[in-house]
Amino acid sequence: MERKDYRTSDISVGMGGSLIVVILVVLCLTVFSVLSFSTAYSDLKLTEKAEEMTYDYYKINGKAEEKLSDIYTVLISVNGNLKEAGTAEAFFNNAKIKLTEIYGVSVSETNNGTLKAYYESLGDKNQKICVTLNIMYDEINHSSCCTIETWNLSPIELPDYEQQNIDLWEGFE
Amino acid sequence: MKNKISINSEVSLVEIIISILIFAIAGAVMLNCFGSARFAQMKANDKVEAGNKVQSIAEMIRSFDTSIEADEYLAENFRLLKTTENEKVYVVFYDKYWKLCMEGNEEINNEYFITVKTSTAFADSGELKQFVITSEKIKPYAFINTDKETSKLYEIETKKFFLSYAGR
Repeated sequence: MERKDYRTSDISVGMGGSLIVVILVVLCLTVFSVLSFSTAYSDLKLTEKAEEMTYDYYKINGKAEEKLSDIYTVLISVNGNLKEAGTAEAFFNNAKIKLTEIYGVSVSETNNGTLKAYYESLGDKNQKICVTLNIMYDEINHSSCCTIETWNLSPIELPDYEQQNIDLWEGFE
Repeated sequence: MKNKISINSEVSLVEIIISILIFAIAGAVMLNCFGSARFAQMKANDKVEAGNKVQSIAEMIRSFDTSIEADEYLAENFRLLKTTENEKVYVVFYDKYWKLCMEGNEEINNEYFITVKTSTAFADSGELKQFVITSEKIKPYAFINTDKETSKLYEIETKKFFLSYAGR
C-alpha cells in the first residue's frame, strides 16, 4: 500500500522568504503602534489645552473677585467717612474719586443718579471677564449698595476677517 | 514517491536567527510605543474625568453666598487633612472608576484624590477666599512620567469674595 506523505509540498519560500515575512509583520506593527500613539498623544494634548483654558478662566475669575472686594472696601470706607451726614451726591463724588484710584476701574454716572463701575480682568489665553457694577446710595439709611449688572466672559481679540478678502467664484456671466 | 521538503531545507538557521533578532528589536520598540499610547490615552481620559470633578467642586464653592456655607460644604464632603491659622487642606479619595471611596476604605481602593486648599484674606468688606483645587493620581502612569511620585491631573486656582452680609 502506498503511504501518503503530507509533508510534501511544491511551494517554496526560498532563501530569505521568512525574513521578508518578518519584515512585513514588523512594518505593519510599527505603523499600527505609531498610529495608536499619535491618536492617544493628540487626545492628551487636547485635554491639556482644555485644562489650560479652564485654569486661565478660573484665574481671571479670581482676579475679578479680588477687584470686586477692593471696590466694596472702598465703598464701605467712603460710606464710613460720610457717616450720617452724607448725601447721595457727596457719596458719589467721593466714591468716584476713590474708585478711579483702583487700577483698571472706570466709573461713569448714569441718568438716574447712580454710578456705574466697569473693569476687565484679562487672562493669558485670549479671554477676559468684563464686569459692570451698579452703585447706589440710600439716603434714608445712609448706606451704599452695589449690584453686579454684568459678569461676562469674552475674547480679548476677535479675529480680523476684513483683511482676509477671499476672491469667490461668481459664476458664469 | 519522491519527497520534497523544500520549505525546511531552504530556510537556514542563520536566517531564522536574523528574523528573531529583528523581531525582538522591533518588538521592544513597538511594545514601548503601544504602552505609551495606552497610558497616554488613559491619562487623557483621567484628565477629562478629573476636570469634571474639579470644575464641579469649584462651581459649588462659587455658588455659595457666605463663607460659612462654603466651609460647611467642604467639611461635609471632604476630609480635613491639615489646618493652620487661615489655611485649610481638604481631601477626598476616588477609586479607579472615579467613584467616591467610602470612609475607612480609602487606603484600599484609592486610585485618585482631590485636594482643596483654602486660604482666607480678610478685608473690611468681607472675606476673600482663595481655593486651589488639585486632582492627582496616586501611582504614576507607566511608560509616561515614571520619574514622578504622583501624577498631577488637573489644577485650578480661583478666588471668591464673600461679603460680610449675605448677598451682593
